[in-house]
Amino acid sequence: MKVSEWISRFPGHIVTIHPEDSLEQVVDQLLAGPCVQDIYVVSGADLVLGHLSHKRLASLLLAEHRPIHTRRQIMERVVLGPAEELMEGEFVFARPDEELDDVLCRFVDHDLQDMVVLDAQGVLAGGINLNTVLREIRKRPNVIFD
Amino acid sequence: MDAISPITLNLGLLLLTGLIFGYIASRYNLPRVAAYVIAGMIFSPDLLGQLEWIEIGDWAAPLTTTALGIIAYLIGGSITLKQLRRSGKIIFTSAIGESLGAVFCVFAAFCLILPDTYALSAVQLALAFSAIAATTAPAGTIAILHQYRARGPVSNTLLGVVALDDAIGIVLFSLMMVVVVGESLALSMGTAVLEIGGALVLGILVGRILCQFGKIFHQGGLLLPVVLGHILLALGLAEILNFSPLLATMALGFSSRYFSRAAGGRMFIQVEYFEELVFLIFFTLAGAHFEFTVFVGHLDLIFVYFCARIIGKIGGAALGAAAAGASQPIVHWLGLGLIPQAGVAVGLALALGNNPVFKEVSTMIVNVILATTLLYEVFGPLAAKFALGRANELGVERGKEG
Repeated sequence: MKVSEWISRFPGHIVTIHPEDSLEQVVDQLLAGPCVQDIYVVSGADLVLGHLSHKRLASLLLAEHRPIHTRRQIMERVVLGPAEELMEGEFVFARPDEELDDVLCRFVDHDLQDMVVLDAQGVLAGGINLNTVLREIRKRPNVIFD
Repeated sequence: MDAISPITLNLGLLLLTGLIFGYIASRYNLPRVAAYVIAGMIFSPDLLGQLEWIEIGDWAAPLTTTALGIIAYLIGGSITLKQLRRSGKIIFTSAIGESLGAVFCVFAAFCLILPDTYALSAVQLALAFSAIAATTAPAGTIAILHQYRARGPVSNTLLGVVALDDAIGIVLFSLMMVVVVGESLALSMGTAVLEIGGALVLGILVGRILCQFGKIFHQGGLLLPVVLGHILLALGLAEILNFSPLLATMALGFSSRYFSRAAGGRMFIQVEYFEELVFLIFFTLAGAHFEFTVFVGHLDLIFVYFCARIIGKIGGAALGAAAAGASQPIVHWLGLGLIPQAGVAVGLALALGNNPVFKEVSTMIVNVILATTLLYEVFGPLAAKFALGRANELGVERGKEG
């Protein structure tokens, strides 16, 4: 099954934020939905710029509770920037024309819950939710990859 | 096999002894740094160093250079241009003030008291000590802020300053090396431009290449060898071309983060795990250079360095903060939080010994810096706690709630 077919049958919800959003705004988005683990920074034209994980956001918010800091973490704590400075610019994604079979291992390798699907221009085309995939595999192990 | 086994054996023993001593110290809430030094002292010439198969000699030089290169890379990558702009005038001028204050006070004090009995002139030695004095140790300050849940403008400024001043320290150290090693001041000016400028250009170029390689080898396991390879490349090229290796690796860190933009942070995450190993190497090696007679013979220098650096840090931080219009608590109490000195200073002292110009005084310099580091390790956190208390920024101590 192609990724494009999967996202038309199971449209996953991707939580997105603006590059200028503050840490507090991002965390509010994270906590707004149930079990959101991945947030994507998207520009006005739906271009996906970067990824913020639940763990990264938690570590930033709880920085003052950490007894040991690297110098990089100290500066991040002192001058906390907007989402575009906190995000990871190199992130994992899928293309619509990829086989779903080839994409799934990326969830495990990169500890993702929601993976973005990007078209050739880097524009958000949809999302794949790991729990949806697991649920379908449990129901019909052989069917979803055909 | 016989030719290399003493080196690997010595290094292995040094690291493992340091680790065990450090672990024991942590269990009893004692400073780990002191434990590393004591572990190193076991291998000093006065103790096990007398054994034929124990030799902390020339093999340590490339190790120290590489380790210091890694630290310089991390320091360079610890801040971005955007963060520097946003950090504000107070943090910037305070960091400049306290670094230059320490350099000036140590230089002036050593020029006054140093006798002309060393292989180097009093001015050259005073420059060497003063260049080391600018650095601080963030770990001690962070530990106090964490332990007492300190919050407020002084705490925040303190954090910014301790993150910045090692970069200033490395620039000052590199300048000092050019001046002291150069044959004349006129000649030094020319070579300074070449060594400093060349190092910056080299670091930026290698940083650009690292950014490209980082995109290709973006998986975690491959990124580490890519980054370490570029650090070694920058160090090696800087040495061959007679550029400052520390400035080159610091520029490498800064530029690779700049060129990588939002993906810059991952260039450092795995290398940051090396920091404790690097400091373990520095402190145990420095401990192995400990000589009781040298230590006792230079108690006056230890005392003067200890006091002059503190006066310089407090005075310089106050002047720097006042110049930027900081509030009274910051002007009064910031400097006392900047007393700790640790790994970077010890690494710089060891690096001096690798240079032929400092060969005959290297043991003396390492012993003075080592002794003062241990004193600062005890006195620094107490001073930081006192300052934050007077600034009314201490919260409830952890473990003592309710």
